[in-house]
Amino acid sequence: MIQFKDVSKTYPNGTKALSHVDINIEKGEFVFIVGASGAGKSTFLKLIMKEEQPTEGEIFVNNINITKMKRRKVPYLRRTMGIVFQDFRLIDKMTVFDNVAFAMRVIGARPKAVKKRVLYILGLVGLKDKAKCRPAELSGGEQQRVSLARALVNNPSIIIADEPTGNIDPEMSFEIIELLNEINKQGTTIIVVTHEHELVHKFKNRVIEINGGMVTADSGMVTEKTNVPIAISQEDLAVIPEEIAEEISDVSVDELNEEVLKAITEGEADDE
Amino acid sequence: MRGIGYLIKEGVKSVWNNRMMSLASIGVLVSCLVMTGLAVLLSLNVTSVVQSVGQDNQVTVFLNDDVNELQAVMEIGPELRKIDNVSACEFYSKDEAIKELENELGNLFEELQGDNNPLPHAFHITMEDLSKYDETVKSISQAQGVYKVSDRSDVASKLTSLNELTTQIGLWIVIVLAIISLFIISNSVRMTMYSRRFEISIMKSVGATDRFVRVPFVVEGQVLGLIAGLISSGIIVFLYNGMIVAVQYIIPFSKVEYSTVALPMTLAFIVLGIIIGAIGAGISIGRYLKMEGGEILGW
Ligand SMILES: Nc1ncnc2c1ncn2[C@@H]1O[C@H](COP(=O)(O)OP(=O)(O)OP(=O)(O)O)[C@@H](O)[C@H]1O
Ligand SMILES: [Mg+2]
Repeated sequence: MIQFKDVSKTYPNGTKALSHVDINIEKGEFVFIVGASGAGKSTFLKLIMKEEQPTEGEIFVNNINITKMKRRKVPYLRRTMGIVFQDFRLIDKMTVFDNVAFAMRVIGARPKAVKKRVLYILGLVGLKDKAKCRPAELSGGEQQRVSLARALVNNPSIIIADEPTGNIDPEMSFEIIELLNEINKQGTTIIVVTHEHELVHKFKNRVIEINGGMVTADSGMVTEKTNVPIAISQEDLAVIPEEIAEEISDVSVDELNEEVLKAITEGEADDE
Repeated sequence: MRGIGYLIKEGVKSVWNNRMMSLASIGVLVSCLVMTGLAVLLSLNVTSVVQSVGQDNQVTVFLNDDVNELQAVMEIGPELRKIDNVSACEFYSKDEAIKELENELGNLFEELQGDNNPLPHAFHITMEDLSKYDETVKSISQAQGVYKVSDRSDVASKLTSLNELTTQIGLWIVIVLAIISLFIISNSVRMTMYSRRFEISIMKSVGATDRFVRVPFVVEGQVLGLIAGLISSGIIVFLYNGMIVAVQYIIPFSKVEYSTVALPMTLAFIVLGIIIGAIGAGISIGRYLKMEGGEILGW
């Protein structure tokens, strides 16, 4: 579904945000992206959305090489993705309903279809009662669910969330990830950048760690979310640094997540 | 394009939401359109005056000395009448001419009456179309028995060149004002875009095409243009009639009635307004469309 082949990104000001990244995310996966601040996580997401262009390498989404994609085709690429932001990015002057409907209207959906679909999606995220509220009248968790509803409304095959729980309290965070997990069960690929160790720990999903613009750990694809050893393909092994690769092959997701978390905590300590 | 109703509505709304800037845009565009209109009307009036002057704009054709009155009236007169563009040809005998001079300058000319009269016989010729003036004069001077052609008045040619001058100055004023209008409208739309940059970034992130992102802003520009066109159509009637009354008070002339040009004028104002509005909006949009995510929001 999403493939990075030797991707590097250097911003015009010379900052090397990503270097030689190889990542392969299959359809239907739920992936956490973790890593210290400034590691290049958001850059990774922006490259998927084609908000930024790689300086080297190639990116495939749905088997389409988006590196060479024409500018006028980018909107259609984005329609296959739902994007959730840390700061919700809701339009204050619009109601919850209109915020979600906005995403459909601006791509030319029929008014009738909009109404039906928006109400359905609001029901899905448990906010049907709040349809007429303004974002300011909602809690952080509720606002993030609106944002999630907006991301879902055009029926994307990928959900991309950059620290969706960064601005809400832990309980709400759990709820949001739980919701994403439900959506994932329907077959939607989900990529979540997060700083919250608790979450990564609780949900037994694939974890990719990025540090200093490189993939420093990858738990590999999770086939079953129980305590079974992770099946790692040769391909996945290739993207994991050798030191870790040996360990990964026969550790459980839990154990791996522990490892990853340790690495992150240390990384962050280093930062400070 | 399907489903743009919503976006069109948004565009119309932003004219009101952004009313201070809208007012400025409309004001400048109205002055541009009204000036353009006045320039056109001035030109129309000058043309009509030139034409009416052309009606009594005559040339005097002096005949050779040896041509007597009979020959002149019987032979040369009919020949001259046949020349293209000659609408009237009136005989003016040398006796009449000398009497006129005497009336004007006194009995200095008493001795020159009768056989001593040194003046030639002449015709007063009136032309139909003044723009063919030079050709006609040439044909007349080539006619048999004609000694010299002298035009009594070059008012018409002066008016014609005045008309050309006013057209040219008017054109420059209009071009300058049109550029200013474009600038102001593009700024107005830019302000809307700035205040809506957040929505634009969301539009782009959910996959709205450039065409869709553009719609509300182009509509805003067009609505501004439409309003300016309508206001101009109203203002110009009063302004024009007022100015005509003032000028006619000084120099009476036959004016062009506004009602004869009202329809094309109003249509031109509206169409021009909408076009300028759309172009002005387009100038601003291009810049935003190329930006992505954080850039739009200025982060
Ligand atoms: N538009 C940009 N221009 C220049 N440098 C940038 C730009 N965006 C990001 N960077 C730099 O690239 C590096 C990676 O940034 P990125 O936003 O991907 O990090 P991140 O992992 O998302 O961090 P955080 O956890 O703090 O959000 C950082 O050093 C950052 O300063
Ligand atoms: Mg980030």
